[in-house]
Amino acid sequence: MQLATLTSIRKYYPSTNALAVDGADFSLERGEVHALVGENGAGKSTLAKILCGFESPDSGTVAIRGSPVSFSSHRDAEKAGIGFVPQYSMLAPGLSAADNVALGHEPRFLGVFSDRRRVAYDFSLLADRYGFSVNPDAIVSTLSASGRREVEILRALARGGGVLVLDEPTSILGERETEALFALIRRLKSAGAGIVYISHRAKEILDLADRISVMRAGRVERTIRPDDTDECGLADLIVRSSSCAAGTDSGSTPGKPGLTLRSVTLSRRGSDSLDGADLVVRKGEVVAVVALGGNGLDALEDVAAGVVGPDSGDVLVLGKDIHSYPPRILRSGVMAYIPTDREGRGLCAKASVALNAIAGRLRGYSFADFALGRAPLADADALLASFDVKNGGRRRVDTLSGGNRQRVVAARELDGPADVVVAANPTQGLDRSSRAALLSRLAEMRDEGSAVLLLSSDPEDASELADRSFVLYRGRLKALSGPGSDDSAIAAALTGVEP
Amino acid sequence: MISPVLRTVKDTGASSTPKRLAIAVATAAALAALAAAALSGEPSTALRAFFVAPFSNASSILNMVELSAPLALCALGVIVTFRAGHYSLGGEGQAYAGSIAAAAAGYYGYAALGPGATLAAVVAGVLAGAAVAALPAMGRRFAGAEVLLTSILVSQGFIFVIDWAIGGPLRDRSGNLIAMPALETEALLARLEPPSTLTVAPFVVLILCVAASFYFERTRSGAAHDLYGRNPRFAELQGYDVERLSWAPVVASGMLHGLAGALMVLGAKGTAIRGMSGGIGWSAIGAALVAGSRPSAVPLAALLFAWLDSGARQAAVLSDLPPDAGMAIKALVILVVSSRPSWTAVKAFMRRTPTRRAK
Repeated sequence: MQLATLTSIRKYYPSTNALAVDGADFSLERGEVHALVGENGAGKSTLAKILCGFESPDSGTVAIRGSPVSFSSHRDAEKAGIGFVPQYSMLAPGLSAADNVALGHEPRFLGVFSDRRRVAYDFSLLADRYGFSVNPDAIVSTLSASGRREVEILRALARGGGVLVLDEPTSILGERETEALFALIRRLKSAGAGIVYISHRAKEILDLADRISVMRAGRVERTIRPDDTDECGLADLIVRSSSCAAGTDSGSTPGKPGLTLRSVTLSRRGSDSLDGADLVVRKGEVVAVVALGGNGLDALEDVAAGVVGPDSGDVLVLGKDIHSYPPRILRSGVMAYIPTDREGRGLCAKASVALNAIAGRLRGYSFADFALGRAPLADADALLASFDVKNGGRRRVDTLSGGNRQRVVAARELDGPADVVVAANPTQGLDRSSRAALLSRLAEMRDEGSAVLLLSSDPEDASELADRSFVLYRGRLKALSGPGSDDSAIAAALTGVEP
Repeated sequence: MISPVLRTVKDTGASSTPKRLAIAVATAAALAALAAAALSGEPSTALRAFFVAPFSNASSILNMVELSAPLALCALGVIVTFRAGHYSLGGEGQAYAGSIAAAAAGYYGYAALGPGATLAAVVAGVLAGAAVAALPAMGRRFAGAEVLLTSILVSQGFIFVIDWAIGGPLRDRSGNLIAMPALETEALLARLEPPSTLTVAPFVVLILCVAASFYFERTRSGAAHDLYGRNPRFAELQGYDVERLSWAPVVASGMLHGLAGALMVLGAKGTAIRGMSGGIGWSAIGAALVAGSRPSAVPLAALLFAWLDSGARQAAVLSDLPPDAGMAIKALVILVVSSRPSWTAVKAFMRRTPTRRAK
């Protein structure tokens, strides 16, 4: 039985002159995981938003269980049993996890008063049923990125019934959370639910999907079964130019310390704390730190980028305390920083793509150059072209797809030379070719003498790029032996298993 | 379509400001007509007074333009804070402080400075507005206090003190008006087109609006100011001077409000009168909203509000329309213009076709 059918869907955005979806057809069967893949900007997220009622199609029909529907809001879609997990957080940061899940559907006591105990109880039941361990009372802004993703998933499960749409759900999840999510998807599938799964990760798509639809330029170009292809074949279908490239090896010898953490402790952040972390990242090397969510990766990112000071210990950049650098100096060629929190830290969502691209080099323009506008626009175009962001300049950055936003951040941060690079989950939302381009740029910067600290929830990033790898478990760093440590060793260390 | 020569890196596509202004004008006209028809026993007289009288002769039009100048300066001040992500509600107190300081400098300084007292009055007004704004600004800078709350609390405190000063130690006892002594004519701004009250003030406003537009659209500092207003954490991580941006726009806004107060004294009023800045803070926020926080649209938005004031006053004099009708219309215009999400909802509702619930 077909749960959802989208026929000849077309969506044009006049404000940005972009034809996001151009006559796409898509269907979802009962008890099926249907993966939607394609390059960044291919129209996957727009098609998903149309199915979920966030956008209305210009033409074409959406049918749920055979009946044509016209959603005027996501609430309508929720009533029709469609849940959505967005690529980036759409939660209210000041509310608790339980309040976010209940938002808009709050249980009432005597039909008038908010029943907060019931909100927490319902949340705990839901989390328990699906195997999540988020504290119902935790304020969302204090949760790690993966914790926030879990709340998003629970929110979708609380509303949705038959259809669940997941947009890049694992982009910032660690291995343990990813496995929990996959087990959940399989349970939902066997219960008869249909799941639309948007991702760039060929391996997980092949593991999970029953059908795979490849989108290009707003159209569904091809629909295949996982048995019809392998990882590289799927990668080639997603991106026309082959992207199954091997990782890069360092050709240089590490030099002086670029970034040093000495006995750094950061507590009072629940499970996301650091406990006496010692780490030296030398110039000319990539050091990767891999962790599952809630083990201190966000805390490490914050102290390494100078966003917060440690409770004790020292964070040194080029041998000097990181906080002794005025922010302007730190960000002018000393440190490049790609944050995990792309929307909150990496971008100014309401500003143009071009301004976001050159935001870090504003001070470099003369008064006249900036006033005339030609030089900044040319620079923005060149930066965006370096990461293949097309037609971006004057659009607001929040009109771009998630992957293109990540490319804008990468284009800005990895532009010129930098003594230290802190890259936290830098490949989130990127398709394979963009991911390869980004990792290759990081390798290039290492070869030019940068000290690169790669913080990731994805062991694959570390194994492809790192010269040395560490695992962060419950706030403690543990070194892995040699570059490209094997997956089972990383997995064991990530979960705290001693060899 | 913006010409490539005029493009800046900050362009984010077509502006909605002209549409917003058109909605504001249409709403104001419709509401004024409705008020005249519903509240007046002589609707045709009220309508004529509202729509025709303010434009009946050159002098009336120029008076309206002069009336719009202080409001435009205050709206510009509001925009400076809005675009830095601060919501300062203390404009009325800042303008009032500008007025009393300008009146004091103009009156007491005339003996020493002669016509130079005009300049002294302007400087005193600007500094007084800045001083009142400096308190919430420093609260923000050093204690992270929310400007929204501190600005209105500080402003209200100053309004009480200034009311007391004008009604008490500084009052001109020779008349019934609760006001300071009138400034010498030579200390006031020259009237350019008597008998109208037009002075150089509207031209000052135009220059400042052009300068503010240039600042926001064409300078690095303006770009940093906007980025900070939209995402302070992002601005901080890009290495901008966020400490300065946390307080400087609030003080700059106070200076503009203070200048507005000074121009009121040096223009039509001739001195500081108790309660003279009443309502200007809220009207300025309304004008800033109508202008879509774009300095280039401020003169037109201020002119619209000046027309509503002028029209309501004329209608109250020439017919039996209640004098507060203008205030009510202004409030409704602000409501309509600032409720864009509701318009989106209305449009969505109009487009809506029945949702067939899936079984």
